[in-house]
Amino acid sequence: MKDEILATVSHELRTPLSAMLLWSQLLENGSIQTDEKAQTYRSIRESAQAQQQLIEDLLDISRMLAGEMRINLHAADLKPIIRAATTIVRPLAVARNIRIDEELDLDVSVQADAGRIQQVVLNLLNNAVKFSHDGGHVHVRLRRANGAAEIEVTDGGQGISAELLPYVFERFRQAQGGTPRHGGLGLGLAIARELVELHGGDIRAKSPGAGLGATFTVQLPTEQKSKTSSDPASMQPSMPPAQAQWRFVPTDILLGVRALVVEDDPTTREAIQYLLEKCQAEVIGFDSAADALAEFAASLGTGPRFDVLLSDIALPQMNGHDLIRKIREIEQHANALRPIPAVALTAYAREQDRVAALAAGFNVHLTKPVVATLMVRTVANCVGRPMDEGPSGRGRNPSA
Amino acid sequence: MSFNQNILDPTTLLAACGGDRVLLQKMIDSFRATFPNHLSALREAAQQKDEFSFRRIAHQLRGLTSNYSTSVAAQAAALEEMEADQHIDPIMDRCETMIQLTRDLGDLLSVLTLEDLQRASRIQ
Repeated sequence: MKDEILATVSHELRTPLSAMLLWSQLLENGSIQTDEKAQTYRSIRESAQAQQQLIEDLLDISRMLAGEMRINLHAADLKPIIRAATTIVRPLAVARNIRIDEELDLDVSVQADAGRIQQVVLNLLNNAVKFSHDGGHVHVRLRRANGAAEIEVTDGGQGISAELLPYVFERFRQAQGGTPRHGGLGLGLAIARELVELHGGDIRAKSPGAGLGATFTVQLPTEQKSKTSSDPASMQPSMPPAQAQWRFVPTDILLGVRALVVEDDPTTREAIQYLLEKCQAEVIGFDSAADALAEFAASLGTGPRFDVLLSDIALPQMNGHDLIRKIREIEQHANALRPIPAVALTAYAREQDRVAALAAGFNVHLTKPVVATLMVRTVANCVGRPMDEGPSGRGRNPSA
Repeated sequence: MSFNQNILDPTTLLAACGGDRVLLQKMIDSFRATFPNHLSALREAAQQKDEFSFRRIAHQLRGLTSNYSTSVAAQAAALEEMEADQHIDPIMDRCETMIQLTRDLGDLLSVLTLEDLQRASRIQ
């Protein structure tokens, strides 16, 4: 499959490049008549733009694979975003006598990265035109549905077979065998899904079958109009779509925070470290409570202090309860002004386990399995940087 | 790819990795590198009737598997909470079941992609 993908990437990058080389050679050796030059320059520009788009798609995929795709959320009206995308695509449609109908009656505001949402809509419209028959039509609609803003792009073109439908959002799908090639790398829909899900939204495709057209639907959480702009909760997108609950989006919410992590299971420790570091925290991890305790004690002397502790309970030799008891003792002897906020992260999930953890000195009790977003939100709350009003671990106020 | 959803819990794993492709792969690699040692230690502790070690390893397996499989984690929890004076045969039987389930989970994870996971969580 890698060979197939590489061949497709090479082919797609080489095609516009070959066209540009050919046209520029023809211009250089005087083979192009004066009245044909304007068209020749346009062809060169279009080839360059096509190649630029391919390279940008590849860079986006690279960011996706590295988990480094970023979005900047601001209040944004969807209608002008969709209109702008339609304006870009319309010349392609007109050239093939394809009509684009808009049904954008509502003013719908969302928390969104306007450029990225335009990229999503543009991709759906481009596909709709590409797969429409000459003389066909494409319909784009904006509406509210299920408490979300819904953008729907429908075409009456080549449609999608039932076998292919579950895979249309997978990257390089077009490059793989068994699918008719239509130009491009088959990355657009994979990027669109990534972007939509980063917004806490959802994207779906449906088609009655091959030759019967297709509909792509994007749902984005809408802003809570009932809340005032000074209310921090007003920045929180409405829930669901479901992904909004578990989708981890790296931020700088923990910039400058030093976290002490104690977990003997390397899988969980590495996952915690990865998530906190993606939020710009500095993480010092240990697999034993004794080592963590020594590091903590040293930090109260000369070293930089820790801002938060996350610890497992069932640790070998010294368990999590003993660790936090000793930490509280050390803090008392050192006259620490503010005890370190401490989060117990454990598979001991019963009510009596929570009570025992809090009694030992933890501020918050989180149970395994880890939920990435919940864990980050809990740590942010512990260090006084609340992310939103969503759920976090159960416990008591760390500053209490 | 189709799942045996009795073993893998796609929603739980998606929540654990936050839908992050890099973290998912790290978690899978780490799980696959870790679980064989846990299983050997569990079997050894059961054979030697070392109750303390048996409970500790069962608890570790419960924490380890809980990110991937509700049912396998529940098996580990059941082992952790087995009566101390119980006859060794049923413990060994349950231990072998746990070992097989965890191996199946490891095999399943070895070919899992984020796309598989997202698709499966939508079907659930």
